[in-house]
Amino acid sequence: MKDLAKQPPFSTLLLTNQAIVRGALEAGVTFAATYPGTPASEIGDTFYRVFRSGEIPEFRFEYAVNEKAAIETVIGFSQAGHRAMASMKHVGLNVAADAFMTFAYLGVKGGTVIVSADDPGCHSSQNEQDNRLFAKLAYMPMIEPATPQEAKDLVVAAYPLSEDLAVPILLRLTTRIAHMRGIVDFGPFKSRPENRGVFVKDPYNLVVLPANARRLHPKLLKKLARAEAIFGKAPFARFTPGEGKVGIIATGVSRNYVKNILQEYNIGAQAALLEMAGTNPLPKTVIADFLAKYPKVLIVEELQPFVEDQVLAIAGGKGLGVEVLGKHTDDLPEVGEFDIDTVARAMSRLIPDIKVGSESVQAPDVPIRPPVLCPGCPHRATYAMVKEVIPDAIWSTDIGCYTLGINKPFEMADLLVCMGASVTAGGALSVAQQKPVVAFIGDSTFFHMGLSGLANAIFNRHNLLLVVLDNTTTAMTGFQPNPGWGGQATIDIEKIAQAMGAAFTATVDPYDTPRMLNAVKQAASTPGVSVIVSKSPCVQAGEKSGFTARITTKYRIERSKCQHCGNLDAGRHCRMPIQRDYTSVRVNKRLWSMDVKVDMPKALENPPCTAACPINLCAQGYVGYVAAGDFEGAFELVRKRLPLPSLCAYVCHHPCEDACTLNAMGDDPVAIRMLKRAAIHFGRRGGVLKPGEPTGKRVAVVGGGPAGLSAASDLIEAGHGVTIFEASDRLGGIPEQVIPEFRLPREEYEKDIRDIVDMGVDVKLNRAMGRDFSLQDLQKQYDAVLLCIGRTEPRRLAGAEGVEGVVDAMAFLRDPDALDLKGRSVGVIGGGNTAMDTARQARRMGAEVMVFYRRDQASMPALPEEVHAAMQEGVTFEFLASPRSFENRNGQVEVVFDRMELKGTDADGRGRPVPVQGGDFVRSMDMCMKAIGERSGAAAVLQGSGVTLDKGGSIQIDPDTMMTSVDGVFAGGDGAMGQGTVIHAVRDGKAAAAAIDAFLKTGKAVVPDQYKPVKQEKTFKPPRFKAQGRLIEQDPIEWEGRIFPEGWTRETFKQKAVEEAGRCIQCGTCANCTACIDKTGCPAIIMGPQGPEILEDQCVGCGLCALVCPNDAIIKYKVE
Amino acid sequence: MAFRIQIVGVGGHGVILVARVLSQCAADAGMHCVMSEVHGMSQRGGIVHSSVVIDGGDAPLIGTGQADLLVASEAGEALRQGGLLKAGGTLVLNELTVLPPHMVGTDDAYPSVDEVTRWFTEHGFRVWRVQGSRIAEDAGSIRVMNSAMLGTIVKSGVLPFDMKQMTEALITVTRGRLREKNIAALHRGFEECRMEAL
Repeated sequence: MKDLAKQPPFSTLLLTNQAIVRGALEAGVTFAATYPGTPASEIGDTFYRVFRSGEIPEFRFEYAVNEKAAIETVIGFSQAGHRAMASMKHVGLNVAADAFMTFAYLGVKGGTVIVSADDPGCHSSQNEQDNRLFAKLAYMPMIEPATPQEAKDLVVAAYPLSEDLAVPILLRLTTRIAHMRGIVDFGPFKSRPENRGVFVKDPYNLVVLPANARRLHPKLLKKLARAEAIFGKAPFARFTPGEGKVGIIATGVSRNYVKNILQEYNIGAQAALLEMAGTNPLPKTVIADFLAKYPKVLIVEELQPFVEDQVLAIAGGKGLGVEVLGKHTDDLPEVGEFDIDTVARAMSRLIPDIKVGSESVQAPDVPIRPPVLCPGCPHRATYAMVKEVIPDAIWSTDIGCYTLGINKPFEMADLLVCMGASVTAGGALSVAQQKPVVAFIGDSTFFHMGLSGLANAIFNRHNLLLVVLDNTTTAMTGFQPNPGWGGQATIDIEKIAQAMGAAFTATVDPYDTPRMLNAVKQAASTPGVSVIVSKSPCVQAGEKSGFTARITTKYRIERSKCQHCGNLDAGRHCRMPIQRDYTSVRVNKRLWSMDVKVDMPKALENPPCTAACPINLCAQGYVGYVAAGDFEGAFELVRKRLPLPSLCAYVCHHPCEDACTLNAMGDDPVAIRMLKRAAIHFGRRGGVLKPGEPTGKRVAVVGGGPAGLSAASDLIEAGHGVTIFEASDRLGGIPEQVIPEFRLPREEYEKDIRDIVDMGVDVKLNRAMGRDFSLQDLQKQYDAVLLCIGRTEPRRLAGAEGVEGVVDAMAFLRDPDALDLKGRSVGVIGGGNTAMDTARQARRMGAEVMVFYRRDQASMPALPEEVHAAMQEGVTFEFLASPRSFENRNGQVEVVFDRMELKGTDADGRGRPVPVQGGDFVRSMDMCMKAIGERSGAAAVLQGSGVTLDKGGSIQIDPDTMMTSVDGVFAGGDGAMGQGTVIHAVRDGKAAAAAIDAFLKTGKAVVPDQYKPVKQEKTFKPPRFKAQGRLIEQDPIEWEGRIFPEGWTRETFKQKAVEEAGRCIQCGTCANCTACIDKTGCPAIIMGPQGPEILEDQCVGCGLCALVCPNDAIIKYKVE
Repeated sequence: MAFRIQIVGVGGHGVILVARVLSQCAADAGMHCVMSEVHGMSQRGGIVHSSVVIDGGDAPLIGTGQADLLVASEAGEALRQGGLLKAGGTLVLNELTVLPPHMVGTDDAYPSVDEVTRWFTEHGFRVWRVQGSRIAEDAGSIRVMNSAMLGTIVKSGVLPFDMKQMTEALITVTRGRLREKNIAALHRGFEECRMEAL
């Protein structure tokens, strides 16, 4: 800024705002004050640099806390004889209006200029008000320059004028003028008033008691009348005659456009031009003379018809028959900023030679580019953290960079009025409606107008969370200091809030996420006005204001962890589209886990629930969708991989829950199976999977149980034709036939089956292999055959066969009503789920039921909750009891049991039961039901087919191909070495379908890796963690026979499901994740071909992305 | 003879500096010059544009079809303001596209450098392309990308300024440790650009 103090002759390129400062210095100004605001900021900043350089003796500059303070301090200096200047943006004059209006009455001692920089087009403002009306309102002389040189010259001229008239002068700029740069010739420094620094008491004129004010008003009018005469002459008015009868009156930047167009078309002589640089009061005589000579005039001025109205009044008053073109004739707009085309079009009404844009080409539309918060902006962190705690508040925002929080991903701006209104309007909103209200205000804005607003909110008991975004600078206008930092004194915002009586206060670094989240949480739950000072310096400020801001660390994305899923390489990835809400759940979990200091097994390659599932269904995924309230998303994810969702949601033995990480953390596992039920209940839709491109191949599936149905679904998706041959009269297999309704509502299971059939399965019921057709028949007609024939033959129990009163449990379950069990005693032999179903079914029919099992309770293959339920329902148990002989005596079945004990272990790891010598005992019962399992009936139906069976009679298959000993004949499920659970049957069906697909397409059957068991990594120590317990399904009995327990509504179920899903800690990585983009919106992160990438030159190392990344994939590195 | 130059780009690209150096060149050559720039909110990653009018009066804006030269640090922004060029005008284009942040992760189309070049050449404009980002990285700071464009402007021959004048103006306007890097980039921008026209 050295140049600005130079002596003439000197000329240099200056911004108009800088030229104004030079003008002020030439004029001998010794005091300037401002509150920064675009487009006026550079005036104050330049003064500030001059002040700090000390090059101008006796000069003082102040950043005022607001515009009112700026004008009032200027009043003080002026009354003490100093020449002074206050500058502000247009809306700043609203704040200062109280002082401004009366200042005109008081008048000046030292000359004073007040600069108002208007913003037509709202480049950087909340409105485009026309402050020329303020001059009229205040009876204040107003000057409007059109170039940097003229601005400097007019300022120099304004000071003696101000002193001569004893009135302050308004210098009105617009953005285009303020931010115009041009060559400025410097003039000499004028001498300063000699009586400066002396205040002469003059209460008669300086204390505006009503009596004095009444007298000062007419005095002011007289001053203005004198100004009018002066404004009729150069340099305030310039007249260029024309040859014709048309004239143009122009002000401000429009003067430049008009002259440019006249020059461009070389038509200068055709229209007369009256340029007005003194626009209040307008010189009436000069205008009347102009109108008389040129009876058709165009008035060219931006915004309101300020001059035009007065020209019309002059013409009317003088009775001049003139035609006035402008805004009232719709030749020029009353809104927005002018450009050359707009002015040229209006001028063509006077001068037809002007043709606008006739030779130009129209450029195509380009996507918009709205401004965004900078990379590393601490507001980003504040917004992300506040939203994490209070996702759906009403956001009352204020004037500053942080208004950009309106954009995605935050969308945290619901109301914006003016400086400080976030606190007051937001406070009112907090009591005017029910939702929580959070107000955001910058540090500078807080001191500007937030202080009194905070007092208002506390005094009136509003219920507001005020977040002061303290970046220790006034960032948007160019990093000016404010009372919170960088000035003579530093004022602690939190202490102010405390002193005012805020209910909760905190000063937190928003990147210290645990503290920030907790502060917001505490503030949100504290009634009254809470104030959080979110303090982190502006990343731009350092560089721009010359302070150190050297970036020493940056972040990069580790490709192997980003968008990673343990299922990805194996082809098990869910392929679900990126889902913002789900991302939120994952990020939320991560941030809050930091909060409770959970040393989570972060970024497990594969969540254990998924790894434990035989079909590797991503439970973390659909639980995440449920937690996000997206039940459709959850269902879609489930159905894509699991053809029989309801069947599994009701009867699956849920290995996922047994593997849940929460078990190891001392908590109940997430109720995954029940959440699947919720996903189905609220999100089910048909047609998630569509038939594939037809291959022309046909596959026969024998058996319509879980394995066969699952295979059919996948085969059709792969494009093959499928026919299911089912021996019974309905699809569904063993679960359909024997599982009691109270465990598996048939209506739900049937929806699963219908969805598969609707994909286009050809279903042939009552068609049994070995009876109605042979395998050879199928081999002839189909390209491949899949045998899913299940286990149909009851296992034999030595000594029990043929004894009257001993019945097979499966037969009983198939048709329970065939028996009348009311009041009768029933013994059930077995410890599996069939035994439990049998016992509970019999109990429900009124029987006294006792279960006999040869091992102890812990060794029961039945689901623990089923055992528990049976006990609760009154079924009694005799453990370590193995039947030795059966006899029917007088209608009673007498069973002799051996008392057993467990010694050593069996092949499956359970204790081996051996009889205790002499421990036998006898029990009598009306009926004995044996539920000891079934075996394959393959031998009978496959006789002569060439298919090899194993020792137990099951179909032997190669697990790598699912193929039997006969080429093209595949098998799966319980009938083929299956493991006897529904989910394993589904897995076999799917694995076989995949193998058949490969066989039909390549000639080689292969079970893809995705159906092989996943090795589960487990490398974490149970951390400190507050166990919550299940929020759903505490008592399984409540859930039986119905979708959700009695007394609940759909909404209860939905809400509880969301809450329960929220317990999932999302311990695995996810390949759908774009959290860094979705949660921060940082412009340094782009979506590359392989996933998100961080642009090195844009990253400033704030680390917010690394904080939110649930995959732990964002890594810090050092830079030179 | 008047020269009207529109400089466009994205906040942070140094658009204003290009305009200031061109204005300085004009002032040093004793020509009349006005320049218009935008400040404040517009700079936060948004569109930045600046006009320089040399010996063409005091109007700081350029009308449709008035610009002799369009200088763009980003391809999409060049296209957005393509209508300002007069028939036969010239575009100096930095080979860079910056996707607006709201488009990240979407499939919406955004014009490429080649598409933008094609549009201008097809409409009869000359296009001078320069890999400013690469030159700036070589020079040691991405922030001197704009100086590479200044070199290309000289090379295009649209303005009556030579490398000596441009270098002097650059020295006048820039400060501190980036000055050397700016000058290096200026020279490479002059040498390594290429012209495309139909």
